[in-house]
Amino acid sequence: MGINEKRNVKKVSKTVAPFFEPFAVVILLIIFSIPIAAVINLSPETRNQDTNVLGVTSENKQAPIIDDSTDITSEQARLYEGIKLTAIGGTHRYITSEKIQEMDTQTYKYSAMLLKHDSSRYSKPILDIENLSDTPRTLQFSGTTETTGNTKLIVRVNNIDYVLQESDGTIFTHNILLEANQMTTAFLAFQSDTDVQYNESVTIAIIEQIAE
Amino acid sequence: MSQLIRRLIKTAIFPAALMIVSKVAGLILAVSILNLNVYFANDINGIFSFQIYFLNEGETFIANSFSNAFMILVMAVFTMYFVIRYYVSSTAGKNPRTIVKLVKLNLLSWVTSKSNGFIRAFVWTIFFLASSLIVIASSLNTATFAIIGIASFLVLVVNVWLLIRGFEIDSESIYPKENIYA
Repeated sequence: MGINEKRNVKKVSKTVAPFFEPFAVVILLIIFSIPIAAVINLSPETRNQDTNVLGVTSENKQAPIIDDSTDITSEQARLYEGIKLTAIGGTHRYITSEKIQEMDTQTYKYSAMLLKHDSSRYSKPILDIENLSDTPRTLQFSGTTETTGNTKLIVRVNNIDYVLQESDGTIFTHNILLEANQMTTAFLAFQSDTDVQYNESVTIAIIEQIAE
Repeated sequence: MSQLIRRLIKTAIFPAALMIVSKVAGLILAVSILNLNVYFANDINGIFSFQIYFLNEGETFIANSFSNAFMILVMAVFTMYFVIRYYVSSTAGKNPRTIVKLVKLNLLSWVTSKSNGFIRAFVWTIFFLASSLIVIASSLNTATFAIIGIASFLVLVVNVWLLIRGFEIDSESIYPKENIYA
């Protein structure tokens, strides 16, 4: 680069520089304000665990909800529309606070807390399912964890894995056929490729349908 | 772009990042050492869409106190270092004893180094001021141990006093007091 070119570059930069100065001041203000906002945001708060990941409640608060929540360890059986769901209960190292709620006559909400765990697969029997009717029925399972990071969520029925949520957060719905008078057990399983350092809640919706 | 703004931006990036990192590190340490159950949520209610929360007040208080204490400690160490360094470099020119002490302690580079400026000490003090105000507000809201708020206030007062005193000494060399030559 010749001397004249260098002079020209200097001249241009001197002319242009003042126009960028207000932007530099804004950048400076941002650099000062971002950590303050971030630290305030990082201050933890106390809250109940029923917080939906998207910030939108998954329950229709306008509709009447029959809050029939029962501790799953109780032996109480549920009998609706030909399908009998019996909570198995018991204790598990990583699956705790199990709860079943009846949302309406054909819909149930199963919720539990998955405690922080090492990378592996864990499972636990959660429900005894019995079709008491003489016609085939289906149970539709769909569910997700509160934070969609890292955890694969599975319901295992009749030795078949039904993936409800992939580890990347993709969710699936499965219809599981129950023949007339069939009895089976549903297992809840979850799998993580890396250690999970926090607890997360899981919610599974179970909807009873007449098989087509 | 003026030299001053460019210098300020350059100097402010590290303390800004350190402030956030130390707060996060404090939280991680609190959760892992005290074995607390932490939860995350993404409520889109206010400015931020990410929240950290605990299920009971006790855990929230402990985690908040621990993370604030860790952040203040890290910020205080760096700020004190730069402010003391600036103060010493300001006084060294007027007091030969200070230079002798620096030589003995092998810290002469504090005076000779080009990076011992007011701007660095000022920027760090601003970030320490912000951190302290957050912690003091948190203490007043009984979300952090009061002792942490008091300690950060005291360190802040010392820092600001040293910075102002150093600046006064510096400016006296440019604008001498009238009565010196009277």
